[in-house]
Amino acid sequence: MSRRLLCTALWLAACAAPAAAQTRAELSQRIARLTTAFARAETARLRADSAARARVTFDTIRAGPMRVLAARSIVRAVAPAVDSAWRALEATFGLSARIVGQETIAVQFWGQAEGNIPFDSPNTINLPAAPPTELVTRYVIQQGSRIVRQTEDTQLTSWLSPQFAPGGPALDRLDVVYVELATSPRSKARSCFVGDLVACRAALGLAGREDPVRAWYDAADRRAIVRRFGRLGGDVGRCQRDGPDEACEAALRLIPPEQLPRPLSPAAQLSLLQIVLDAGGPGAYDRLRSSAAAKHSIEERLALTARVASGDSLLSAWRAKVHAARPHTVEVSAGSAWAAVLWGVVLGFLALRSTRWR
Amino acid sequence: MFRQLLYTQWKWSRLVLLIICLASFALPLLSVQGVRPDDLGRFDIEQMLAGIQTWGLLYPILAAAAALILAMTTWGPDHRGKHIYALSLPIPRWHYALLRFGAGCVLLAAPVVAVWLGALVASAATRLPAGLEAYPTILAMRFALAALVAYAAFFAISAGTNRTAGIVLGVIGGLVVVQMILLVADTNINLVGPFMLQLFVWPGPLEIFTGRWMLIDV
Repeated sequence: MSRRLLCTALWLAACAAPAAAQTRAELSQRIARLTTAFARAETARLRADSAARARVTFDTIRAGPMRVLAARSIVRAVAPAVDSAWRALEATFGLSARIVGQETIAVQFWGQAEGNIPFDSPNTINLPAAPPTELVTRYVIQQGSRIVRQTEDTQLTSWLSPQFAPGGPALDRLDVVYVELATSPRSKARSCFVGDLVACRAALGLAGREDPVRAWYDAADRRAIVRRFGRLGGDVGRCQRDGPDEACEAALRLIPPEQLPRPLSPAAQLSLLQIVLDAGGPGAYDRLRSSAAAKHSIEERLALTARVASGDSLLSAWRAKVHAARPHTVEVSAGSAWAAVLWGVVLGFLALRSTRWR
Repeated sequence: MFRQLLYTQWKWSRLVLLIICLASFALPLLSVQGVRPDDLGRFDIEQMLAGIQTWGLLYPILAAAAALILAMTTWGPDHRGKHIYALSLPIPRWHYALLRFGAGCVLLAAPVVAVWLGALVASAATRLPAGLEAYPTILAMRFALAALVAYAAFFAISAGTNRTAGIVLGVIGGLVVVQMILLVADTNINLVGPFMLQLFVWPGPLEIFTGRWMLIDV
């Protein structure tokens, strides 16, 4: 009994005493020790990675100024893709494509003969085993586009948040943009759909960037967006409880302007940029990022790039292309209907001519 | 005589026809389950339309299944009775086949009407998000045309001899086998592709089966 009491007393005493590294000084010392250990481990890892890379024989594949590093066993598979990728980059970015030469891209396949090589570069492309050439090309294009994008000015990058890459889905998926434009609950997108170019400007983020809360949304939009925030207090709660529009506006202003959702998705902006570059022809991208263009607003820059008279012409062309890409609904064309009836008659006629009873 | 033939065909196929009609009525209702008129983002709308499109795959399948079942039940009893009933009638064979074809087409109208009614009910009962529209009548019309083509094809095969059916199936099967051999031999020769293009691209007979079968769309 006394032994059990003694054990309990000792256990309580142990709990009451401060644990190791519980004081501030001890904690700081421990953090410092761990930080040093982490740095040592990181240095060791880098040394080991470097040694692992040194053991592997790499080949440098060149296409224009673009340099792509690949292990010798996969060079044959990568080289044609690099060539295609460079041609695509040059066709879209013009002289600016030469920027890709500032960095080296590394490509490796899963299961390559040299094993997985640890690269310490954001320009490393890791692909599955024996990928098709088109896949390698696409990834090299994306990586190249990323390098080019790093040198774009802030006006351009803040307008177009996603990365633009040649051969991407910007034009192929205009039907998706159509669906978005037709079904968006945001007033600016709906007005744009029916032909209001001023609304198109706001919906695409070309205008109203100084005060997006008021320029991009009407009162109903603001309330609908704030309703998606989840239950919160303050202005958010007041707006959600059908309070005045001022509360909704104040709630939206809690979000940094650059993080406010635009009435239309980045896919719509990408489609506009693709149309601009297509209309502008050779050298369009160079004009877009030239220092002379950077003095203008983003809308004027796009119009100058596309070599059109005004932003209105540009937006009208974009709208026309989006409308032309409307997905085919269930509707039956007259040709299809007549073809079906005709085939029904022909096949039925074949049945009448059957030799079953002969 | 048409009425008698229609009546006999109705008797032979009424149970299975009832099941097809129920499925035809239910399909549009099921396809709009995920539709809601809330404040939806781009991905919500895309997901909703993708859901409707997935259900839409069942319309051509249902049309083909209804046509196949009706074509088989149209000729089945004749085949089993060695065509004695048909031969005892004072009409030529083409006339008899025409009456059977016509009776089958009339019965095929039942699932078409069921799809139309189901689509109308589903459209009326669903509050659509802004920008989306319902297409019940066009959907039913397309279903009718697809069912007609499939019925005519299956009717022609069923009306023929086993030898004819064997030749048709043999040609299709042979084509597939040859294509597989060519694939194994690592050649780039594509025999099935052009054949399928002829079938499924206008003015091919199966073109009506392709495309988006969407009760609700932009």
